[in-house]
Amino acid sequence: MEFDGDALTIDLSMGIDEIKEFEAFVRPRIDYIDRIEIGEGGELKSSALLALLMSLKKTRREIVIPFLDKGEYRSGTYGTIHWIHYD
Amino acid sequence: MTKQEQVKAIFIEEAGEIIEKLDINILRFEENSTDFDLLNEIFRGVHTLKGNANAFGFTRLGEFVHHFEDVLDHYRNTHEVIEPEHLELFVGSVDVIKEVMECELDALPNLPTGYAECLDKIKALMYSKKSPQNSIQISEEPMQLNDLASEFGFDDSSDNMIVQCIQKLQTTPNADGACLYRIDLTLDEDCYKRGFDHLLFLKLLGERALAIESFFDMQNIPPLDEFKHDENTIKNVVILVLTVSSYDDIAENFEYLFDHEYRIHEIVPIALPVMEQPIEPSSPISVTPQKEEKNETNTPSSTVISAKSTIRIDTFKLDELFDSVGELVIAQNFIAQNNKIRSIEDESINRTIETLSKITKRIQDRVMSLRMVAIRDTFDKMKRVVRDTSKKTGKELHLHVLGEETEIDKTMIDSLSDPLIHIIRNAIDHGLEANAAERLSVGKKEEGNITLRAYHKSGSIVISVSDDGRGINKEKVFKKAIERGIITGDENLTDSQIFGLIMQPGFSTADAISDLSGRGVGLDVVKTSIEKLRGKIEIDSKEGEGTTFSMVLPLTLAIIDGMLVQAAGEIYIIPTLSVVESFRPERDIVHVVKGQGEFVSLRGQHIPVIRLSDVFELTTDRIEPWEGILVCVETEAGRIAVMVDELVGRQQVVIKPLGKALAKQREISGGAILGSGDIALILNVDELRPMIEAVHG
Repeated sequence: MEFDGDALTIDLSMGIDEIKEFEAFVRPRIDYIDRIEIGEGGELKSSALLALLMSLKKTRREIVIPFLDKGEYRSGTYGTIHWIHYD
Repeated sequence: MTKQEQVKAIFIEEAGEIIEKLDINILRFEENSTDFDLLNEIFRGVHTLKGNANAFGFTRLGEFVHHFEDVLDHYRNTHEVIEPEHLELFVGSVDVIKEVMECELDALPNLPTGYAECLDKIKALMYSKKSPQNSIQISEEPMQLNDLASEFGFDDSSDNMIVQCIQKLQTTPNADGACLYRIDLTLDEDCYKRGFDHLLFLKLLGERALAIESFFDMQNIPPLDEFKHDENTIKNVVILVLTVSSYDDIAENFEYLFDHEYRIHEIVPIALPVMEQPIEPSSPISVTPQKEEKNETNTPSSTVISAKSTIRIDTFKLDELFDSVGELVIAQNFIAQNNKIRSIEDESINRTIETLSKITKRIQDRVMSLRMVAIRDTFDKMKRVVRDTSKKTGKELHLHVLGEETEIDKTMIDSLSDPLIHIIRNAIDHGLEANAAERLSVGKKEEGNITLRAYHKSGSIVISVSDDGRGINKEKVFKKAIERGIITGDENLTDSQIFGLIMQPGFSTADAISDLSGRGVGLDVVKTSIEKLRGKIEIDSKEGEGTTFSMVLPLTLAIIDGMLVQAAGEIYIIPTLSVVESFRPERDIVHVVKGQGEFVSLRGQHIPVIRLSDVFELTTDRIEPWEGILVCVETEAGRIAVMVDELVGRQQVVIKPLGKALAKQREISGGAILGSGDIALILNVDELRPMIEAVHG
């Protein structure tokens, strides 16, 4: 996880413990984060991360999360994952 | 017993426990129908029962619980208010489950009378609660593509995405022999804590998939304030998988989930006749609902995936362990009381013996505790009895339960239910006033009160059933007993003895016979059952105020608290439960009545004296009663005074069965090995009779 100015870069392959740390990190800083990027490499490991990113987006709609905005994630392991939200 | 029979026996035992628990929980839920945790527990019980029933080919039970489970699932998911008539249906369903289970076990061809009606009601209820989202699961009609999409529960645009995806997957080139499945994954909130993740299933499915696409419904994801990383908030994930795997192979991936957490549907046709031709939205897509009847054989119950804190032990093994501990106690007593060992003046040996004694006692207590279970479950079962009897008699009442934590020997618990049920029914049917008007007329509240209580008293366990009803009319009982020839009328009976007459065979003071009680064939059976447990029943009643039936039971069937007495050099044990008092009589209170033997006058009562030396024909110098000790004991036929030479002491003894030779000796109920290694016989005081009776009777 890297925080550069107002952009946060995270690793996609976070396990539950790391997601917990990420949540704890981002909670008090939500107002200062403008963008969340996904670092290169790595594969989504838990649906909890997807949920957390969605929760962040719902909390502060100005946050740009390109990964989420794509609406889908393609993986050799999981096939194509689409997420549906009602914005 | 073959392995299959053993497994079946375990199933039967487990199913019995589940049904017993259901019976209790459904009543608790009836009392508080907003307790959805309890509803979840009921659901899990039904779910496990369904799996097990189907696994053993009990399809009729399986079918019933399957539909019942659907209804429970609906309410636990929606938290919808449950209407009273539906609660009644739930209670009735548990009754049917009990009856069907019996039919299945006895391989009876006919189902219980209420089966079809109850099942229809459940189905009708479920039908009325069906939402468009889950209509496909029970629909027998082929579904249209539009219907299929709408049941995903997403909005129109998302539905379109899914439909398009289905079309795309169905036209996948080189997919011959592959099947397209749709899996609805609705994992519970705690799935992460249980080690499950949506992605895990995607990964498993993906291993053998030609193509896999999934749609995560993020509608319910809360804002950060309410978000908890370890709680699943993704309520619904639709997975479309094109695979050569069979339905069972697919299902295997989900075997550790609860049934309600996934649904698998096979979408046919697998591929269109013309591969490249797109499907019109209105093209029919049929589903195979019968596949939804997943093979439950491998579906573990929640207890399998949760850490077990208990193990199941054959009670036979427990009994063997208990016997061995009994032997250990005897051996330890032998060492502790052996004069040769005691004469050794060696501090380390004495200390070792003392330590051995303490350890032995501790082991004995712990092994004893293995057999002890709280009476709570039995009391819980009685709540159902009270409820049903109350409804049947139309009497409004309150049940008060006290001392549910009191522990009692497991073997005894099993034999206690029937007597308790009878006493409770009797208390409601006959004990309480006929109706509210009668209660009001005597200044009582409209609702009656039944109190169920368990407590320890003088080394015994007392289980009592009290009512605040009419009480027993002593004179009526006395008169009826004379009419029935149970007594002659000349007897000088105490209140307790008069009340005890109602438990004599054929006795009934009920003006009208109901199907609950009052046939006069119940209380004597109750009495016999309790006596088989080495217990006794005491009745206390005040006319106009109520009646209490108290079942006084030993702590355990394997050990009794006994009074050791000596007669003609032999040691005998009198169960302390029967002993009223012991004393050396004054000469002037002992009388001899010609032809009737010796009596002692005690507080105005003439009590027959029974010499143990006479009963067992022991050779001894005959002494007078005032030179010996009289132990006054309570028996079925009233009090008797057992004459012994001296009192040796009181101790807990392990009951040993008698050999064939002594088994016919009615005056003895068992034997025990004393610390000295000597054998002492345990007296069956109800069979000790005055000589005159023994000779002529």
